[in-house]
Amino acid sequence: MLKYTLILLSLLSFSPAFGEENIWVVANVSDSSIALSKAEVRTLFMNNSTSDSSLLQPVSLVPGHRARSIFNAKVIALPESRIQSYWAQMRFSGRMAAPKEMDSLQAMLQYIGENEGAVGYVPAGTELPSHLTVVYASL
Amino acid sequence: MTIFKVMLAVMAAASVILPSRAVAETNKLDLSGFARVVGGFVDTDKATYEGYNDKISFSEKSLFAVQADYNFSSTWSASAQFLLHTDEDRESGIEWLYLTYTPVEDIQLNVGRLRTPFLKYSDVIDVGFAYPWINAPQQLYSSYMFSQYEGANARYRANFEGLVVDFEAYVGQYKDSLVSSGIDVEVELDTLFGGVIEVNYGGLQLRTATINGPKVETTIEEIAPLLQGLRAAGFEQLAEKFEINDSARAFLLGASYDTLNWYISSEWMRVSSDIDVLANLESFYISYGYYFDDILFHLTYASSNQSLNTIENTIPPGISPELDQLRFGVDALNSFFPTDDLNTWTLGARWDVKTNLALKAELSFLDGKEGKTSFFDVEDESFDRNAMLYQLALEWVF
Repeated sequence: MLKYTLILLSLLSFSPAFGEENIWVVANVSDSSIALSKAEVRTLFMNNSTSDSSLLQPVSLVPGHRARSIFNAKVIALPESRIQSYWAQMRFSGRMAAPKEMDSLQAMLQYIGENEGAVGYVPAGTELPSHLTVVYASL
Repeated sequence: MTIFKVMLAVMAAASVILPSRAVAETNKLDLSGFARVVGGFVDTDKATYEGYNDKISFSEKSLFAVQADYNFSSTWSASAQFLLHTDEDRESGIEWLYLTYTPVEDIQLNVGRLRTPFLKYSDVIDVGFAYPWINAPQQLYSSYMFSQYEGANARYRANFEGLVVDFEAYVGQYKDSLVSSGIDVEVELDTLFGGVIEVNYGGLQLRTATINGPKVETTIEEIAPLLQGLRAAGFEQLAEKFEINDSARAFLLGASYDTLNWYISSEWMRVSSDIDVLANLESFYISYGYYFDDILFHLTYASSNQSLNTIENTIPPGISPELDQLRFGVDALNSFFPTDDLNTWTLGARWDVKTNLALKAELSFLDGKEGKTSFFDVEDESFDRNAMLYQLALEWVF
């Protein structure tokens, strides 16, 4: 009975997806013509891997940040809890560590701005420093 | 000197020899860890399952572990994992200890004491936070062989525009004492090797893996007198069949698909060997999960089928009391080797209270076969091999 109550409660509180809101994936790269597909952004953030030789370093926002939730929903397509359990698996099997996490958009933009090859995400429409390039825009 | 000891020496030496300037620039010690508190019981007093009996116990799976990762440079690092657990069948101590060399981003080499990669979660089976269940399907996760090894592995990652293929190959040696039905079994392999290929595209994952032990040497001290008796009585062939000294291998196929709201995941495994008394085992599970906000509900069906390899008792009955005793001994020995046919339905929930803390509850209906062990330690032969397993867990990573 408790289980059904829980299911009902969670259905009622279920928040609609982030349909209206979008994110930009921004990078500090010298070649401003670089464009990534959604699948490439996903493997960059989940596998720390890129298909070309350019070394890109993914940077995330802390869990709970709205832009991270949109990014999780629209690009990674996994719930936060699954992403956390995935990184626990990668870390404790010695494969790789999760991307660096920034507390705020300002901290993220500053970090990307100061580190060549750094890639992060911001809400679409965010005003960007001139040397950062939008490499992917969610739909 | 074992590879493990060489490792310790190399690590100690490396920390002294590496130029101090380089170390000062990149040296970084990362401490992390995981813990789980698991309580459970089965609803029968005629058998135990996974150590659980009909009284609630928190000591079968609870554990605490600390991992230290130390970066000597951008390409060299060392890792150690120290594990403390409450299960009396397992020893606490250093579970992992290895050096990692990452010459380029897509290649990683490890040497030391490592966990054997095989099933999707076999190298993180102690990290309950990493998977949805409290008890990963027993039919696969307690049946794959040789959970750790001392040796080396190589990992390579290929990326084709978002399609990622991971390759891993390893070789090493294995030595362990297992407890089976309360009897100590020493298992030793001079060579153990295998590999994993994993393909990831978006939420889709396909995996295949193998483990091979060309020569598995097993010593069971308790049966030595019986084997001597058989040889003395002229039953050399029979005695030989109980000598475990031959090859064994396992093969795995797995697939899963993860989305924002649900997942489906499945693994199929076959263990086979040339060892007379070890039956071949085939098992699989299929699991479906659905997320209601922060709570995941999942349902899993798992099944194992072990082909019977009972050794024919060629000792004629009623000739003499001594022979009858040997005959009885052979029957007893035959029944000691497990026959793990079991089907289970598991319904579970996982609630991620915080990003590093999860609560789990799980209910498993265990449907074994009469006359077989079915992963139970049967205490009363009238037991029908059916039981419910109830578990609660707290999973933590830090």
